[in-house]
Amino acid sequence: MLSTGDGLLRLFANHEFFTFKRQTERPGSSFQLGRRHRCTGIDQRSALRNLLAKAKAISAEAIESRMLEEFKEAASRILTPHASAILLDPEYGLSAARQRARNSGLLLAYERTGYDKAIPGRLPRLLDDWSVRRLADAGADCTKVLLYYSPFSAEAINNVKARLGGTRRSRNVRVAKCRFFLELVVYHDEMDEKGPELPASNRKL
Amino acid sequence: MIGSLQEFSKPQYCVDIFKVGLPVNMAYVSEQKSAESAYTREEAKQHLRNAAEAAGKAVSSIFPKA
Repeated sequence: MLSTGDGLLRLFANHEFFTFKRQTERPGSSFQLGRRHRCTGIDQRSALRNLLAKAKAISAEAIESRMLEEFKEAASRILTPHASAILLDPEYGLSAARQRARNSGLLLAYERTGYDKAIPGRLPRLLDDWSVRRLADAGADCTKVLLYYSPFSAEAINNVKARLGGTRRSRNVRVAKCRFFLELVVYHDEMDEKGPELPASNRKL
Repeated sequence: MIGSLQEFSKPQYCVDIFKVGLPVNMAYVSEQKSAESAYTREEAKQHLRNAAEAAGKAVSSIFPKA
């Protein structure tokens, strides 16, 4: 399976570099590579807020943060006994993380929810008050980043996204143990994601 | 999706695990090719194999996207 070796991972957001370090060896972790995993993911933020608002027939702004936290806590409590890991966000998911089953690993999202529709290219934006160091300190086995990507985007856009990456080594044990989990969401600006064209276009790749 | 996986499987990105959607839209898979379907079941399976291969050495978890 994978052996990326030691890594210094650079992440890009808001036109600045974020840097963190890690290495491959991580004895004693519940979340090992080379195994089959069954993860549950509940790191939705604005989408979950909208769903709760719809269910309660009130506006999204009227949904309190505590409600999101409680929803995630319940999902964590009920589902993690059956999951090898749970994906949460550090904004509303930390109390849920504390309630996960003992053998369940933890993945924490590092990106901000959604993307800025005013800027072309669905560029990634990271949470301002978090770093990989802080996510690792909060108990994350993996740092998760969601990246919208299209190989057909303008070079200027994909050059920005290609800045996510890195090389070599950390001295901080927790950071060193934190894996990089990349969620790729493929899209095409001129295609309907629910239609047949987007997947069919994979043939040409 | 295959092009994206190939890109981010390069060693400089240091990705340990991918989460991606299916490389096919299940609503357009059928036994026989028709006007309503984009691919047959066999073709769909091959797209899945190709995507897994494109993820290269990285541990890839291909999750269906709701």
